[in-house]
Amino acid sequence: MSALEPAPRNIRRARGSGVGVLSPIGYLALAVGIVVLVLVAGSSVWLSVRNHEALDAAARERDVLFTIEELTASVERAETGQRGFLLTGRDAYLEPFHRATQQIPGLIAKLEPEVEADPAASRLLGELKPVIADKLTELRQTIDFAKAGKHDAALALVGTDRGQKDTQAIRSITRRMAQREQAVVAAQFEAINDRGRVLVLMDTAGLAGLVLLAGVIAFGIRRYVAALRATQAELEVANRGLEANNVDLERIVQTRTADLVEANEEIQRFAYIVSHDLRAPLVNIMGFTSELETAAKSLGRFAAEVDTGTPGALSGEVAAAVDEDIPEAIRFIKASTSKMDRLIGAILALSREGRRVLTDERLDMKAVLGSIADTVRHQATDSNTEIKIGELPGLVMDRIAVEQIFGNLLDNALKYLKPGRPGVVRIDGRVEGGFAVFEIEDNGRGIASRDHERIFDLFRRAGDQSVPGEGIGLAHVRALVRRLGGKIECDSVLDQGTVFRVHLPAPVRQPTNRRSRNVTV
Amino acid sequence: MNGVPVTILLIEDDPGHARLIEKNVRRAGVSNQIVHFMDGTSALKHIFGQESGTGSAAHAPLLVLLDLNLPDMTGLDILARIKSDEHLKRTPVIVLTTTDDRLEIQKCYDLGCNVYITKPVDYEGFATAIRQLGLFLSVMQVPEPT
Repeated sequence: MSALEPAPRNIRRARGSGVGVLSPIGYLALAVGIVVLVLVAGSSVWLSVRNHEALDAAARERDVLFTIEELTASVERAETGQRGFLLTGRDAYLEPFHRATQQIPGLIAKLEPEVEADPAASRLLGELKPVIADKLTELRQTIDFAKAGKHDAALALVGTDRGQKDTQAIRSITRRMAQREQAVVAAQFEAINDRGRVLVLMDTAGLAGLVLLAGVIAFGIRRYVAALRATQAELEVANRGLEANNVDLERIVQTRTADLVEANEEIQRFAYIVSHDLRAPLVNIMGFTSELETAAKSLGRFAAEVDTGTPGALSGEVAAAVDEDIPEAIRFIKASTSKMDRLIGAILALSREGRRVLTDERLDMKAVLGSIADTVRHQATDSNTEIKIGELPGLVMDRIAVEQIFGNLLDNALKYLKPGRPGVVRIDGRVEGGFAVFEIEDNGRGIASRDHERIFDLFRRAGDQSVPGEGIGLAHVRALVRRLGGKIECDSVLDQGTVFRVHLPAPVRQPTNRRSRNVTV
Repeated sequence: MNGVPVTILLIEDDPGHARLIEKNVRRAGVSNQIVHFMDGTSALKHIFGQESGTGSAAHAPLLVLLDLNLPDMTGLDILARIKSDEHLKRTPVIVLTTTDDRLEIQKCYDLGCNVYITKPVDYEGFATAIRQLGLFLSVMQVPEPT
């Protein structure tokens, strides 16, 4: 597994490098740019509002100026009407006088609130009002004199220059008022101009801020894109590393599998050679034991003849050797050699099974188990045993191997029943994680837990040795199950029963020939 | 067997097997001379006789009982030598060996082996096979050497 580890480390490093899009200075520039833009926008709005207010004020000042001029003009028009009437004596000339005297109080009233805020202007207006009133009184008195026919009195009043002085005072005061108002208007426009210049400055600053912001953002995007690219490149490297690792892993698996196959084949060859080479001397031992037996029989016959001819000719020792020792020795030799022969035969059979070519075919396991059960039906009836076969998943496998596995297990179940208890053997199956799992359950004598692994070893048996056997069956079953790519387990409680669980690869869509690899030796 | 007695050449590295084969062949009533060799080199020397100088055996009619697993060479070499020799190619060769590999058997017949017998690895089978071989030898005809 250590080969896998570098790849995740690469990925972590690649992720880490993507964090810093902007440097601290970059972030500061971004913040400054944003603050400047906000200030520029805010003050531009404020300046615009102020200018609008200033323009309104300037417009009002202009109205005041007009009003002042109108006031001056009205006074002059009143005087013009008086002069005309005095010269002609016709009432028609009095018309401008009347209109002006009617307008003048309204104009003064209009000026009152405008000058309220300005003390100097108020003072001027205060000076103006009595002068105008005096002027109008003087005019009205002269007109009244004229109307009453007292022309001399009227002219005398004019001649006092009272009206002339009043008119000059009115002109002087209104000029000063107008000058004040003009100065105010000029100041307003000056302020507006100043604010306009500030606005231009602000807008320039705003533009600069925008340019700065755009620069910062563009720089950030470039850095971000570069970081993204770098991350992507590193990820690609990491991916390639992973792929390389996968390839390495696959190669390791392939190498190990090949090693295992080779080791397995070597064991098979070893078993085959050992069993053959052990067989050769054994054949000699058995052959010459037979020769010995034949010779011993001849000797025995000769001894018997001698004994019947001349009793007592043979010593007791010779008689015992011929009658008992030699036959007994030969019996033991033969028993041992035939046992050895069977054991070697079992090894040979196992190695032959390992060398046999497996041919996959579709197997209806219910039918397969049914026909195996039929072959042991007689045994089952004798031992009062019921065999129950449930629903079983199908397999695609070598028929003979599968039959041998389940034949051995069923045979065992029937062989190791608990005496005096009617037997029940149950066969069930299911598919679990790509494996078909078969359970062969019996209520037989069971296997002590310490023997659960041992029973699968060659020549090893468990429990009461009342049933003959060589300890080969389960070893053979395990070898077969392994060769088919599966495994076998045993669950058992002594005196209660045993479950053998066989896991075999469930069929895939296309049957493979991967198990027929050790075809020839 | 017409006049000249056939010599049985037994090439077998296991002396016990050789002895058991000989005994059982004799029991079947075959009384021909049996010459036993335990390795390939000495057997070839005897058959082709160049170095040994005992050329007399070279042209006597032969029957060869051949084990394939020999210490110094494989029996296939001996078989090939015999079957490619102008004078000896009709000599019957009975391969008697433990190997039951299909390809090996084919190879032997391709090289001209007359009979291929697998030595049963269990004793009973072995004894039976040898007895039957003895009976077979007692009736078979061997051509004169040319």
